Amino acid sequence: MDPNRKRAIRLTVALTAALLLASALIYVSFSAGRDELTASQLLNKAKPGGQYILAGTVENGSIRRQGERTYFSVLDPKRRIAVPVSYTGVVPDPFAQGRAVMVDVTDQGGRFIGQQNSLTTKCPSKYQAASGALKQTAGEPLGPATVKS
Amino acid sequence: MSTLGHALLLLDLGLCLFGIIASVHGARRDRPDWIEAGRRAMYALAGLSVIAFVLLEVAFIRGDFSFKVVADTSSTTTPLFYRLTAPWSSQQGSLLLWVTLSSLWSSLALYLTRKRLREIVPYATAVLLGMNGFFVALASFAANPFQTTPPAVTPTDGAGLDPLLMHPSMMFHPPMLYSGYTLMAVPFAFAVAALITGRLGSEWIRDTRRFALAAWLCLGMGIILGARWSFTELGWGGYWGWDPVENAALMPWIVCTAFIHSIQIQEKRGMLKVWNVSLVLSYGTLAIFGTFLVRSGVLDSIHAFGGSTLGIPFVVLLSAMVITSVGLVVWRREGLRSEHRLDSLLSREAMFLLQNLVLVAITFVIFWITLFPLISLALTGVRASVGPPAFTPFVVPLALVLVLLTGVGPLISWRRATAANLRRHFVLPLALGVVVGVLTATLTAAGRQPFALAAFVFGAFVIGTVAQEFYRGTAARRASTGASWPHALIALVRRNRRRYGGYIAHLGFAVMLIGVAASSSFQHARHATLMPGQSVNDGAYSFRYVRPTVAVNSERLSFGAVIAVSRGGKFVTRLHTMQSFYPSTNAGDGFIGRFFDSANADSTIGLASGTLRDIWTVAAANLNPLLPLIQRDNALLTSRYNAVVRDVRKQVPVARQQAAVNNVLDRLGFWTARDVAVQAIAAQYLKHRYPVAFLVIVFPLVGWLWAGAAIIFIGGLISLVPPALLVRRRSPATQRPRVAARELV
Repeated sequence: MDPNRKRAIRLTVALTAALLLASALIYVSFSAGRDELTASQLLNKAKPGGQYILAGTVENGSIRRQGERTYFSVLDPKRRIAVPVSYTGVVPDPFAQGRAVMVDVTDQGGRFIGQQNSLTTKCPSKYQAASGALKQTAGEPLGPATVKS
Repeated sequence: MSTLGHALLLLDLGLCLFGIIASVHGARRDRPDWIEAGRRAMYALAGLSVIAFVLLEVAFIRGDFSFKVVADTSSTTTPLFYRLTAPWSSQQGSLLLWVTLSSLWSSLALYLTRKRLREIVPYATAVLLGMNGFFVALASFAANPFQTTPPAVTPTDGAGLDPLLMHPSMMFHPPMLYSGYTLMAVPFAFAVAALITGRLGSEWIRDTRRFALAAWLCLGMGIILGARWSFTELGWGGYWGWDPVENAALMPWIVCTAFIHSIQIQEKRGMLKVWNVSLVLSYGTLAIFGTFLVRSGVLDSIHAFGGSTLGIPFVVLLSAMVITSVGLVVWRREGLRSEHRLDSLLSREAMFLLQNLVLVAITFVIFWITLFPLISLALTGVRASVGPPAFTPFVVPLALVLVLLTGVGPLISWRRATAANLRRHFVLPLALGVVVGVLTATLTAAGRQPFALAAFVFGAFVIGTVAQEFYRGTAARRASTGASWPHALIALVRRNRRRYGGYIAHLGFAVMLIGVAASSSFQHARHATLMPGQSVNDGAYSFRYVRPTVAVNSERLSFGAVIAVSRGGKFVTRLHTMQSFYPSTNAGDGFIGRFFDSANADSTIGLASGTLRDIWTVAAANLNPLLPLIQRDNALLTSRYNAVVRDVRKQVPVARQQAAVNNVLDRLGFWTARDVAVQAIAAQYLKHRYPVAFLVIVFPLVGWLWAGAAIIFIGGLISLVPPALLVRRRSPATQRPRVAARELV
């Protein structure tokens, strides 16, 4: 076969494969993509049975543990709205109030149930210390941080 | 010390500017003295950066909390080992580490090429200094590691390093990743310089190939160390979670893998010049893109720095890199034309090219899915995410093709393979693959998982090809030299490190793939809430919660569980998992509550590793029964403390009140009473019989993943080590042609 013709066929096959891959990728992304919502967006959009990704900060004082279930509220980053979530299972170590989390939730008649193993929190190397948070230790109100056994 | 540190950074910036000007001026005017000045500016940059980094380390070792970064990420109770690692736990310190490593690697590259590539080196120096200058500028003005707080508000103790970062991997994982990223800048800079000067031969590639290999090795090991660390932590998604920042490290590594293979085609056949230079420019840019994702906060990632404002500068740098790269390749396209064409699809160069296309396709898939939230936001106005499951249908089949090509590529002939060549090289490995496939399909659950089964078959095929090559090479060496098998094997590897180092890396890749396929397809995970004495089954294993445990030491309180694991009624192992609570600095927790704050806790998993499976367990300490005791003693101590403060305020001037309060508290034994109360509350944990939430996971063959990574590391090192360190003697002149002919790549 003519080398140029051979080359053209190879190029066509390669481009077709690339096009198919790209099309499949775009299709899967848009069909399987789920909206990442803040608390206020979730409250506006949620429909019973719907699955969403909720992103925000764990509200201070909202964490409550009951057996294997953990209850907490996810705060909207911009507005004073929080969505209560019920999560079953072991939570990640970095999970705590005031920390950024993402969790897959299902709307069960206005109650948001967190999907097991879906709760993620930021890597602790990336927290930014709140300014002035350390001033409390300048005096000695908390005392030594070691327990003498 | 902070003033000196900041002055060093500003001096670094001046050196970068001077070096760029000197190098470009020297190249344009053909002035060797100016070119040499540019090179020395890089050496000086490296020296000053090392001094600046040592200054920061000294501040951490001394516990100088006037440094903001020291106060934010360490404390008086942080062990020395972790004070040494704490600098790179912050944005500021990690930028300084980047500059230090980058300037050191750049200096090494410029030193090794000081008598070579005379036209290319000045521009490469300018590019390297430009990239270093960018990070120095960030560290100088946007995220200064030497920022201090005024003496009046300097804390007596720091916030401490997060307990999760107190892990031996903290010493190695970030520096390895940063070394990988910064080493990638070297081939990038030389590629840009080669395109600028039009010196497009293979010389610059030959001189920087070792840096590409070192970058690939360091970044790969950094990724694996991170995976291992993540595997032993709770909540980091197992050994791989397709997190954006994990993906950001994987992408340049994959592209670098493609380059390491395709460069052989350019060296042997003078083909794929555009492709190769594009790969170098791509992984150099993707390395910066990785750090952009970490530091910009543009995507939600567990590894992204929160509240960072460095996104815009990185966008500017990335834009400059992409525009320059594309512009230069287009400008020099004539000089980059291939010297030969592909003769046959059944040839080594075709297999390498196909392997490259698969690697680039995997990179594109990862890039697209990782950035999809941004793409979706731009196109639809809504931020959507597809999550980790979206990777599987694309990455798994492509990875299987890749592993098959890993077996085929190195053995098939250059230019055109014949039927005899195919028979000679592939019959035995194919037979091995088929046997392994039949055995695993009939004896294990692999028959129900086609992708996993394919991974086992292809993995066995690759292992077969590598074993066959080692056997044949060693046998040929024995025949020609009369050496023993071990001596012949060692001599074989010494004589052709690149080829046999590559084979070893391929072997590691196959072993690793088998581990990934088995551990992801056949793992059993089970959540359960158990009382002491109760059991739960997970797959073939049974887990019994034997008893709770408590440990108190000066750093932390640990609440744990002892679990007995059995299989078919037979005892397998006993595991101990615990959750440790480190004292918080949150005054709101109270005198007692600060020792039980779950925000300052980390888990130690109970892990039993084995050749065929790992058993992984974790328990969340249930402190609910202790809360009333914590609240009671908090209130008691707070009222005592307040009484002391009231008394002191009546009698002592304001300026001396704090010291007086501390004296009275010491005299009254206040802190001793607190410690006794903490220990008494902790001891109560042993008495309560409340349920504890467990997560137990059985990972089949996950140890193969780590073993495979170690084999890849060994293979990479063999390929990387300079010949002089391995080859002591040359072959006798009479044997040289025969041996060389057999070992020709």
